[in-house]
Amino acid sequence: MRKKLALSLGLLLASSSVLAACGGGGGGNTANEKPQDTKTLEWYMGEDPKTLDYALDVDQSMNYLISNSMDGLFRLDADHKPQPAIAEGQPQISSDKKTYTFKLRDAKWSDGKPVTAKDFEFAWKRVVDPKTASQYANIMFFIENAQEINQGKKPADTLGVKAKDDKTLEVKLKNPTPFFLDLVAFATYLPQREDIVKKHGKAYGVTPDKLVYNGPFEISTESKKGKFVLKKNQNYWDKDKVKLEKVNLHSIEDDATAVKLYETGKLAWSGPLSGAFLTKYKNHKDKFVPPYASSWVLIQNFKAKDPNKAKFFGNKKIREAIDLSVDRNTLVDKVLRTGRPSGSWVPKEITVTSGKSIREESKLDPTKPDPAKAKQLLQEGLKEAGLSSAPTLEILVNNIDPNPQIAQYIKEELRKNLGLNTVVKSVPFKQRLELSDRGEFDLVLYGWGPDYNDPMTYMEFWTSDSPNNKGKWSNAEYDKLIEKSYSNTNFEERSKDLMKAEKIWVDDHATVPLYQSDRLYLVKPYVKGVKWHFFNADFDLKEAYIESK
Amino acid sequence: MDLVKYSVRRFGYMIVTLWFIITVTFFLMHLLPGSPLRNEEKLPPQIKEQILKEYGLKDPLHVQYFRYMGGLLKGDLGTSMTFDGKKITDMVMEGFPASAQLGLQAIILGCLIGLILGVISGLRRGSWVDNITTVIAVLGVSVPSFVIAAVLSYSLGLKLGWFPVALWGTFSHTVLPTLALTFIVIAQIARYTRTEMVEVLEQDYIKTAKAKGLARNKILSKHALRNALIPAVTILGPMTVNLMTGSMVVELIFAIPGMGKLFVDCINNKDLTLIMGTTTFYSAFLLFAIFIVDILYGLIDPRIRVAQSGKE
Amino acid sequence: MKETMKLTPDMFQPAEIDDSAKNAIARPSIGFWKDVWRRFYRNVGAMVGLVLLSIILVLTFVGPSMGKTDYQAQNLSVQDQEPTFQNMISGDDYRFGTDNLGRDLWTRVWYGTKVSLMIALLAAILEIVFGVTIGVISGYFGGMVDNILQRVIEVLYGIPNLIVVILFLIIFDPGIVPIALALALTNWLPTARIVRAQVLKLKSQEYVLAARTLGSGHIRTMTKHLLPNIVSIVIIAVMFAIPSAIFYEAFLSFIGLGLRPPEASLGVIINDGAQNLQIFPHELLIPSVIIGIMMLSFNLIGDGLRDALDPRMRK
Repeated sequence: MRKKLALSLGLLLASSSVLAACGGGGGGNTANEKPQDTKTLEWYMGEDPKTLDYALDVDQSMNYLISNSMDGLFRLDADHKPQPAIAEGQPQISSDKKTYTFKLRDAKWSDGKPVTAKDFEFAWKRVVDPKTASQYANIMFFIENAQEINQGKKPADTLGVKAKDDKTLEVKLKNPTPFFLDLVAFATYLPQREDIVKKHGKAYGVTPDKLVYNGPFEISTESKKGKFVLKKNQNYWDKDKVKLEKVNLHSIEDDATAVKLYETGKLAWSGPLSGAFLTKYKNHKDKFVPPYASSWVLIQNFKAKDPNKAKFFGNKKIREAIDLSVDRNTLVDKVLRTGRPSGSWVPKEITVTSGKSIREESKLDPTKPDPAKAKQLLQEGLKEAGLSSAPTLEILVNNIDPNPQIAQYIKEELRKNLGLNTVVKSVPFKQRLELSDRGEFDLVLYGWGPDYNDPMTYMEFWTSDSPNNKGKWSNAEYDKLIEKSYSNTNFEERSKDLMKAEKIWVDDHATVPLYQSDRLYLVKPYVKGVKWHFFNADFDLKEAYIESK
Repeated sequence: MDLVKYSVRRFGYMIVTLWFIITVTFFLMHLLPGSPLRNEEKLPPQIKEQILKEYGLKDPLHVQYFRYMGGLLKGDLGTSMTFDGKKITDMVMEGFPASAQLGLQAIILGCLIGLILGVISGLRRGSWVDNITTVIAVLGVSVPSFVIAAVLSYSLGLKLGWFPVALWGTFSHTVLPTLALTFIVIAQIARYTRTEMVEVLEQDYIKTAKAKGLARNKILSKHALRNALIPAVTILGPMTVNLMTGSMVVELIFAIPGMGKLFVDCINNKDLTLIMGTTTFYSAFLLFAIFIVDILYGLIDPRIRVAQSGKE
Repeated sequence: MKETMKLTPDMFQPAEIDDSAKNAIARPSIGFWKDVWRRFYRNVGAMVGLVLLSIILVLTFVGPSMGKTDYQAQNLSVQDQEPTFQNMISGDDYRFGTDNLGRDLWTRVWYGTKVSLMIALLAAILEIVFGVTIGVISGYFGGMVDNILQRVIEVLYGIPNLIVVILFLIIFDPGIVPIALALALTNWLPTARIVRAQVLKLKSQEYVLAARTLGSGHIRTMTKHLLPNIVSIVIIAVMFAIPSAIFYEAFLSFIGLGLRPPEASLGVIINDGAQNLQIFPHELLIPSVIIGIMMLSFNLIGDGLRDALDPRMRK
């Protein structure tokens, strides 16, 4: 799910020290002169957003635009902690931790109308309403009855959200949810205006003029294909903190193009670098590494259509052999040129109840390659599984770089170390989704980015009935631990259970953990005050400014 | 009178062909395997039904077909399935101006250079101009356009800084992408013109003109050139359409908001309505261009009007 | 001793006059193909093309075995190594350097050239078989048949090539045969048109009429009398179809629908290299130069053949 927030960022860790670390390396002719206009920022954006209606779906570009032009109940601060935004102060939380009551501050939409609790109620009900067919409805399932409504089992007005009056919003949750305030900062939880949605009908969200905004910027009607424009929102409640007048976001789909534009000073942020650019700009003075959370694994299909393959993956020794035969260090250093080897599923950015990184609490080191042991295990495993020889396996990836490279590397490792025959099948993004949904693969490369800062965003991935569990790995104990954690009010214990579940997943070699990606950006040193996040949205320009001497 | 009749007949052909193309693609599209919905696994069955109904995909095929044709008559290409709620007519029209501008510029520049090179090398076969033209013509068709585009943007844009490396806005932004597109035009026009020029110069009527003492320039302009241009005009129609509907590669490398990527996007997203829409637009445009070329032919060469079935 | 001439009766036998010897041709005869070859041979450009293409062809067979490793073996400790002139000659190290996964570019490039040529040849053959068959039938029979076929061609012409090719490759997984088929599927149309035009011209000539009058059937007339006379056009079409197929395959790789990695074709290699143009230009330049030389050769040969095959060009 790359498109999902697999593309979010990490915090600006000691940016000054990073920026100070100049070194040799390429890119000599960088145009670093300050722009004439210190109120306008030239910014990178991937492809054009598919829609601006954030109830329907959230793609990367839309999230860039919406997260900067809207304000939710809460907004992430520079340390990724949710802080009250449209909500005035912290909510009242009931003793069973299942009812949240938010008080709303006086805030206005860009057309001057006040932001009310009704706007939130309407928006959330619209998302879970099956008629809306939102791609992101499952992020609302923490709210009472949301799942049932979305599956058509209950009417839409039973959703656990209610505007008590214009300024009070009461939310009933299905289970105690420690990370709920992270969620209300997310695009799908943003308010929507019933009158505007009704007025435009199907055209709602198609173009910027068919929406209203309550955030730091509004998406200007100057926006057109290839170039979206954010203009300061004069009706924003916190507009004194907004220093930029205008941000131009350019759609650029070729990394080399983005770098060239950055080099000629036409962009203040290059977007994520890839391939050999990572080597070239490794020591560039403008380089910026946002700790980034995205976990990549190779899923093995336990329910492969070919019974021999199902038997093959059904054997734990064989799975361990595959795990032992891939050298993650070379993969990360040479093939990807960025990222960290991984022996777990949850990336280190995710924190547990103690406030510490999950990887500090539960150390799961990357597997050290051991071809000799792997070979032996494979032979034993084949015998146990009753197979005379290993079947030829198909590695499914999407055709977006660097995924084909990764697949080729794994193919070579499996051939070299285990003598396994594999075929790389690289297909367009949507086709890979379809094939893996239908279980038509042997091995598939999969990445996952967090939707909120809690291990659960990762751990619910592998339960037996999860639609994301493409390989159909199934473990009763794992399922039980996750089920228990959903409703556990003892958050300490919940954290421990989730870590225990992850350990089960690792010990059973359920999938092959490969790496956790990192990103490398080029950011002009004159750009200050950008908040970079590893979940929710990649960046927040609310308080960004261009430094003028 | 003859020409009017001829035009009307060609126009009739055009409409019938267009109708055929739309019909064929329409039914082919609906034979495609797999579901047109995104993330269909996630959706509960009744919701799936509902969305399919909303897009009218639950109706019998012939009902869908007539509805689609009805929409087309009103200039409505339908609504995209992946770009939620977007009108395909709008999507095409958003990208078309940029693509069309680049395409036209490339065609005009390419024709100018191509014609000059073609005529000169046709006149002086074996000369250095001829050899250079051959090399240009071959390079033009033998280096992939993404290589040309990347090299141009890197050298003239980044290294020398003469033109913007990418993005869209002013005329200077169009220079490099136009150059990248024009190579193929120069190559083809030069090649066709040269071949035809060589052939025409061998014809008896040129010898006659020479024999009766006509000045060299007169022979060229009056007799040779006009006839040598005919094949160039033939390929000009489809080539213009192809260039004006955008080159995905060039638009990607120069970050141009054109419509070239639509043709790849629609299929990668398996967006049935979008595939139909782009195909219809392209076909209508192409057939119209061919129609115009045919009429031009009829004007230039009266034989074609009469010997209709023998044209090529 | 007086010399006497002895006359014997056998001296008065009628001389045997061999009529056939009279007609004997003192110098070897020059048939059509020999003549073609002679004119082709004199064409410097065409010969240069032929030599270059032969060198490339030889290298596609011996090249891969001259490399350090096979085309898919990775050695990530020598990633993106740039070639040196010395290595290129001696072969001590990677002759063409290595690519982003540390694979021997020399082996990959020649292996890829072979694959590209196979795709192109297959596509060209399919395209010619299809185009010629339809073109001949359409032109020969004329009338209703021609009308219908021409309308069909027009319809197919109106559907964007790209859409047809991509759809085809999504339904059938990309490989040498499906890519060749997909290319042939769209490219036979122009061939059919050209052939038809040529047949229209030929069929009204006297020798065809003569053949028909003497009782030659449709099939015989088409295969024995028409086909040989369009061979030159067909050969030229092949010469131009091959490069355009190589080119299109490169484009398919660019949009991620070409051969599956780690399979190599020139298109795949060029596409991999294009991403590194600014940093490791050799990864793009080497395969681009080879594709360029190959295209140049095909075009020169094509031009040469056209000149040689067309009697009007006879000097």
